[in-house]
Amino acid sequence: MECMEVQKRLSAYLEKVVSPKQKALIDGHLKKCKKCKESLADLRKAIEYVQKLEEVEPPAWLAQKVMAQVRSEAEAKRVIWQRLFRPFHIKLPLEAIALIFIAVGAIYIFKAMQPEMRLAKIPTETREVAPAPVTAFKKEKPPTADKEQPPPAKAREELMYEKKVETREERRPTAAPLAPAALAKQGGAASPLGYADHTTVNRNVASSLQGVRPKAAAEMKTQVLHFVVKVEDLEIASRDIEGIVRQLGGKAITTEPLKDRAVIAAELDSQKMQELFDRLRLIGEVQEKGSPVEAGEGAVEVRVEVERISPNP
Amino acid sequence: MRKKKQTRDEDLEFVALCQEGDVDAFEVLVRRHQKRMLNIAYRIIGNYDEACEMVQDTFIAAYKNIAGFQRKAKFATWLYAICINLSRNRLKQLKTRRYREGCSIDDPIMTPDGEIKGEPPSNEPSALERLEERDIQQKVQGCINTLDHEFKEVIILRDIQGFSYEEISSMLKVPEGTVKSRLFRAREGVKDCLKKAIGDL
Repeated sequence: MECMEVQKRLSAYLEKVVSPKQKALIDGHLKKCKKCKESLADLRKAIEYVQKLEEVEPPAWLAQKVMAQVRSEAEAKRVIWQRLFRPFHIKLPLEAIALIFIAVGAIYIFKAMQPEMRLAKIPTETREVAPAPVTAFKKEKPPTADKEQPPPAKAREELMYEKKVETREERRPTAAPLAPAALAKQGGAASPLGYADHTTVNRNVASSLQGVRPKAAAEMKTQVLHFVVKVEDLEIASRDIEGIVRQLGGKAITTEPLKDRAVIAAELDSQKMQELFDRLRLIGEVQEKGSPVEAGEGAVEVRVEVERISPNP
Repeated sequence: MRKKKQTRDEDLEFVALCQEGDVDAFEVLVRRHQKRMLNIAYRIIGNYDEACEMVQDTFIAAYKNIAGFQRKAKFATWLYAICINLSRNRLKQLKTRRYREGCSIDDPIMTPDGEIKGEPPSNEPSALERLEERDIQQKVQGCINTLDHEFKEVIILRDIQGFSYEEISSMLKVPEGTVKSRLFRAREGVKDCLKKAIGDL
């Protein structure tokens, strides 16, 4: 082995972590090479010097100082713990009572909500048949005790519309005696019940609950807008109108194709009424029936009757 | 080795008491480990007063975290690891600060010639020339100071404190193989430095 190789391995050799083969080679080299022998001796000496470094003694006050700090640390911890647990004695009964109230409230609401859950399942099955009445109920989600069965599908909007007014009026007096906290919980507690589209409904309910109370009964009626459009081609027009209504963000769109006319009903934002009107006019002659819309009222029920007229001679 | 095993069991006994809130039990641990810890910190930093600070800081940190100490590991290993980390960081702080502020006469040995130099650690021939006037012990410490921290730590823990490779590996959180190779390089570094400082060893 060459000097350079040996030099590299001297530390390992000293520590006895070289392979027996290497050890033999290095032993052999060291016998012959003075320089490497000296290097090894130097290495040994250097380590010895390091090992012989004197230990220093800790000052007498060190342990005491440490303990003083440790003890104040322990004291601080103790105080914090006490502060956390002392009021426990007072808080605990209060918290227990509060918990009971919440539990009772939750049970009450849950019971009130249960029939609504059944109703909510209906739309998926009877979409074409009775979406409108169910929409009305979905929208309201009244927390009152009396649960209306959905009226027959053939019910006209006017009837449904009256019912809405009823339930809202009913709701108000029952809503009033509830504590404000409980009311807020109604809005909140309703969502875990797993409603179809419950979040949007919730918001409607919450905002309508807020808005409903100060208003007079008469103002709570939903607007129903009635358009009659006279066209030559019924099918094409119906399709077009349906498309328009959808584009304007209409909800619960239904189409009733009859012999010489079709009725397209939907829920639309009242702000879209002007646009709807303008676009209907492009299709045919439009007549407006029903009460004029007050802007910014929220959603309105729109009913578009498409009538076939015979072409002019 | 026998002593170490005893110490380990005895340590755990007091650690358990501490975890249950017995503050006096901690004092036993302080008195038991302070000297060794001081020497480790002293050899890393090279300054006695700073080393004393490190010991205090280490014990306070250990006390604060004693609830989290899992009794599977050896208490001493955990304790000294804290000390090494704190000392290492403190030294870095001191070096940068001194580099900015310039030299001070009051400060004890940081380099072979007894003056504090900032980063990088100096290997200037002129400084080493003056080594011959100094005490051998100081020179040895001076040479140790010239090492980068990872090499310095292993030579202190192995050759000065006598920890096993396994223990050093736990403390520094590096594999045993790394400990060994660092040790070899550290030793050679000290050898070369001392040769230049003293001449014939």
